[in-house]
Amino acid sequence: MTDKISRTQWFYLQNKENMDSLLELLDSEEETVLSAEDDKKGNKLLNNEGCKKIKEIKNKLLNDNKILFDVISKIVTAEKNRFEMVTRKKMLSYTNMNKFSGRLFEYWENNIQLKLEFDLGEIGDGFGYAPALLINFMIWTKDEEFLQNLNERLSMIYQGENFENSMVYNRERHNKAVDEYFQNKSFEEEEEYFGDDNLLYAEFELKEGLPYEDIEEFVCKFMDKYINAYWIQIRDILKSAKIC
Amino acid sequence: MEKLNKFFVEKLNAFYDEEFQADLQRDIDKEDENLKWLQDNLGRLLNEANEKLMSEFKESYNKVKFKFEGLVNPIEDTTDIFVAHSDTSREIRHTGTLAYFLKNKEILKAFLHKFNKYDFDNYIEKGLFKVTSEYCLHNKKYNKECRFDIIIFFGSDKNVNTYNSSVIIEAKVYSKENVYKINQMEVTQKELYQQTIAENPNLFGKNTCLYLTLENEDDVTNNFENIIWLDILAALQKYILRINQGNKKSAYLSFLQLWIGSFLGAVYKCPKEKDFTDKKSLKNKDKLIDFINQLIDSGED
Repeated sequence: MTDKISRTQWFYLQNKENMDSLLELLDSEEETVLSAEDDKKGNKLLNNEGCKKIKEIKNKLLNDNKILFDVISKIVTAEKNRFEMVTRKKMLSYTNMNKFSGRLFEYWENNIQLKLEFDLGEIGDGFGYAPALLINFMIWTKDEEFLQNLNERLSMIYQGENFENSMVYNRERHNKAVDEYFQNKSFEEEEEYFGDDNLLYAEFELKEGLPYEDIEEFVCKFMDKYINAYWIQIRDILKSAKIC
Repeated sequence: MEKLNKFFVEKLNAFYDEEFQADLQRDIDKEDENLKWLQDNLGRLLNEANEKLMSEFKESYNKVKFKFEGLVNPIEDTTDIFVAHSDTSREIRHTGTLAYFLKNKEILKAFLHKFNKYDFDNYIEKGLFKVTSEYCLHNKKYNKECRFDIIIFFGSDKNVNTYNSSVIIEAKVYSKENVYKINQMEVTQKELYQQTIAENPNLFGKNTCLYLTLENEDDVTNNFENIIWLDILAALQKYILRINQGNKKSAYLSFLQLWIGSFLGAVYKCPKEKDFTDKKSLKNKDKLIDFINQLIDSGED
């Protein structure tokens, strides 16, 4: 049983862009395309044996990630009536997170969704280009006034804390994202929406072989310090929201 | 794909060779030990459990069978063992017996515990054992009289906390008339199962581990009890003897096959293969062995 960042996870994190391309291709049932794909020199990039290897790597990665995110899930969903894991098949990819690297949780209040996202990301800005566990806490509503008000109030709540808190957003892009989200669509790749209306953003640098316990401790700390401690206030803000 | 380059593919291959080949060797080393344990203990466990279970089952079933005959299965559907509705009393008997037997979680627990090394969840995620019986379902020349399905799901069942993995097993015997219906359907039974699984993810878990279909070619006696079980058992046990030690999944599959084979042997009081080699009842043995080999070979691709 894996209890630390495995070599497979580490390989994925260090080669995330290429790996995502491959894994998504496998997922899209285009294996024949994959095995028939030629590089510029006319050679097959991957033959059947290569595809088989990727499948094994993919499944090992999914398995290792599942164990890790199960650990996180238990922390995030521990409080009754708060976050639930999102199990819908189609959902907005807010960042470049995908099923190989992340897990989503949501909380609904007053028909507004709070989303907590854990992503094994390739880039953690705070650590240069090191792999990191990225945590985004965000909200889905088109009520601009509400968003601004929420930002101000949360800014006051979290004043002095060590995390990013920015609500400067592109209204048109945000609203489009919200529309698509509530229509249960996925973004097209070219429409990828890099949200800048996170309520909270935190990251934790990962290392090869890092024990899951360390990640667990970080997530616990994040949840307790930044979510649970302010939960009543967050919920009150949401409850008092004016819905468009 | 434009971003994918040959350099990365070489890197990927190197990583695989370094990381996964080492695992493979470790699995092979452990395989013999676990197989030996199975061979030493499985028959005893199954027979002990079966004797008690069959006695209980007969007693329970006889008390209530008039209520259920022709309607539903005598075994209550649960989330850990799903029993399909059956249409005839004989189907009820077979399906119910199998389900009842498999409800003994102590047996499952013993297996899963012993084979914890194989990390069942890992195998599920790997998709190594999404074995399907395309061969039987789609090949019209095997449109025969009877069919026996065993579908084993490995998935996340929140009601089974005792084990690392839950096991959902559905077994069904199709009678002559139903097999004709199945073969005439545009949507195959496999697709129906997949659809059912998709619509009931919480009930079934998300993965079908093994979908084994065996057909009885004997259209004269049409007697499952006396014919097909012996053939299945022979085929399964024979296959175990032909395992390729270099095959990564062989231990797991042989576990399943030995389990099913021994289960059938116990439930239906079949003799061991060595007791009836070369007898008439084994006329389908080679075909079944070929079939199972094909089943195995098609599982990973």
